Amino acid sequence: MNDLLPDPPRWKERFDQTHVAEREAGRVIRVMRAPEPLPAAQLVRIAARIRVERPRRRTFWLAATAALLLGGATVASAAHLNVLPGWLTRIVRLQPAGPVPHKHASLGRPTRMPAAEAAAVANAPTVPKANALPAAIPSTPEQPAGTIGDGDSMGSDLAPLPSRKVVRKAIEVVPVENAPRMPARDARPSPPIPSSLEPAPAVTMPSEAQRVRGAQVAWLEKPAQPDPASPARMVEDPRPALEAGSAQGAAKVLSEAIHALRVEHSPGTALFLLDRHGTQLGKSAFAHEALLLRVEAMLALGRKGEVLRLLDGAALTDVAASRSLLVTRGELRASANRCADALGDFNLVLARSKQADRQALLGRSVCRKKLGDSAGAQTDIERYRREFATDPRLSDLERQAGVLK
Amino acid sequence: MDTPMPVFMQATVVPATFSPPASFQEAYRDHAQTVARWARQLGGSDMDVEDVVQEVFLVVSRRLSSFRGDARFTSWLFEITRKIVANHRRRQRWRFWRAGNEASLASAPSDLPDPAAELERRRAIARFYRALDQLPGKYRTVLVLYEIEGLSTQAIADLRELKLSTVKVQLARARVRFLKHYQELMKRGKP
Repeated sequence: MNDLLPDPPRWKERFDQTHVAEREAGRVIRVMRAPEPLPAAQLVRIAARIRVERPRRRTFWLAATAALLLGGATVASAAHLNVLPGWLTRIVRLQPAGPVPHKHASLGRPTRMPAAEAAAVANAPTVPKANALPAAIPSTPEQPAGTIGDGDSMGSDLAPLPSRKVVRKAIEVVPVENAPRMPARDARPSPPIPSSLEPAPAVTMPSEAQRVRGAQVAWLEKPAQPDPASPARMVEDPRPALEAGSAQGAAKVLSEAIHALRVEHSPGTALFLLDRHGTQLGKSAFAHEALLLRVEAMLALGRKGEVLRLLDGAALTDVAASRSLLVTRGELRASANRCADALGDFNLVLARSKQADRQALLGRSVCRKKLGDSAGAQTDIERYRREFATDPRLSDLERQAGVLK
Repeated sequence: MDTPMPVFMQATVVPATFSPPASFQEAYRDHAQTVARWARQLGGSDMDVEDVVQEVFLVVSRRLSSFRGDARFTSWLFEITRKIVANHRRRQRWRFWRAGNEASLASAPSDLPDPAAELERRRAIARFYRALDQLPGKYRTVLVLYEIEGLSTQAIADLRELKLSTVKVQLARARVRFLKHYQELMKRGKP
C-alpha cells in the first residue's frame, strides 16, 4: 500500500506550511549550505594518514592478540599449577575438566576444591542456633565431621557444626572373599521430596562406611543419574561392561570408584562409574558397598534430594550393616521436616546397638523436641552427656543444652 | 567569497553499484567526497568530517578484501559511515557535556559580512540537529537522507537495503517525531 503512495513533499520545497515547526524546519534546511567538497589537499592528507594508520592498527591488534594469548597461557599454567588467586580460580574453574588433585606435590601447597565440593563446604552451617537442642555435634577422633551420619544434613536444628573443615577419611576396599552376598531386591517406590530439603547443607564423606559390612540392602530399581554438570558424563569409558556376577570385576569397579572419590576427589567420576556398571554391581556381592559409595558421591555433589529418594526406596533391614545409611536417612528425613519417619530410623539404630550412636542420639533428641516430646529430648541429651563425656566440645553442648532447661 | 549553492538546488544522485572497486585507491578516489557529504549531513556542521572520512576508509581498507558484493558497495559504505558518525556524535556529546557549552561551533564567531545573521543561522541549524538527535538512529538517518540529502524514498531503500514500504513508514514516523521534538525546542527557545 505504501509503495503506491507518492513521496511526501519535502519541507524545504514548501513555503505554505501551517505547522510552525514544519515551516521553521523547511526554512532551516533551505539555509543549510551544501557540504563543500573536501579540497584535494585535504584528501591527500587523509590518504597519507590512512597509510600511516593502517600498519599501526595492525601492529596494535597483533600486539593485543599476542598479549591475550600470552595471558591465557599464563592463566592456564597458573591454573594447572594451582597458583591462581581465589577470585580468578572461581572464574577459571567454573567447571573443572576432570579429576583435580587436592594437593600439588611440587608446590607443596593445598589446592582448591572442585566447585561442587567447595559449594558443599561453603553451604555447611557453622554456628548452632541458640534456641536449638545441642545438635552441634563436634567431630570426635573416631568420627570426623562432615561425614555420613554426622549430623550436618539435619537442617537448622541438627546441622550446625562448629568447624567448616571437611575431614576426609578413606575407607578400606572390601576384600572380595569377605564380601557379603547379594541382598534381596525389595525396593519400593520413592515418595516425593519436600522442597524444603533441597537447600539443606551438604554432607560430604562417610566415615563409618568402613565399619559397615555384610550389606542387606536392596538394590534400587533405578540408579541415580550422573550429574549433568559433571565432566565424567562426557567421558567415554572404554572398558567393557562387567560380566554379570563377576565379583572381581565388581571389586575393580568399586576400587576405581573409591579411588575417584577419595583420592581424585571427583564424585562425578565415581558416580559415573557406579552408574555405568549399576546393573552388574547390583547383582554382585558388593551391592551394599556400591550403595554406600553412591550415597557418599551424591552427598558430595550436594544432591540430597536424590539421596533421600534413594534411601527411602531402600529396605535397610539389616540394622547392623546399614547403620550409617539409617542415620543418614534419618538426618535427611529430619531436615525435610519428616521427623516422625526420622525418629523411626534413629530408634532403630539406637535400639539395636549397645553403644549409642552419637548422631542418632542427637538426631532423636531433636526430632523428639520437634514432635513435642521435651522430656524425651532431655533424656537423650543427658544420655549423650553420660556416654560421650570425653567429647572435646562437650562444653559447647552443655551451654546449648542449658537453653532447654 | 563564493556563495555556496543551496542544498535543494544540488544534484543528490548517489551512484549505486554492486561491484566493489578494484582497489582501495579506487574506492577512496571515487567515494571520499560522497562519504564526506554523508558525514556532514548525518552529523551536522559540528562533525569533524576529516576524521570521519579517515576512519571510514580505514575500515574500508581493512574490510575491502572481504566485501563479496552481496550488497551495493555504496550501501556498505553508507552503513560504515553511519556507524562511525554515530560514534563521533556520541563522543561529541560526551565532550560537550564535559566542556560545557563552550565548545559549540554554533556560538563560534563568524567572519562573514553579517555575523549576527550567520550566528542566527548556525543556531537554527544546531537546534535542528538537536531535535534530530532525539530520534532513534533509523529515523534520523532516513529523515536526513530524505529532507537534507534530498534522496527519494526509493533511493533511500536502495541505499539502505530496505523495503520501500519500510522506508516510507520510517519516514512518516520520523517526520512526526521530529516535528514534536523540534516544536518543544522552539518553545523552550533553546538554540
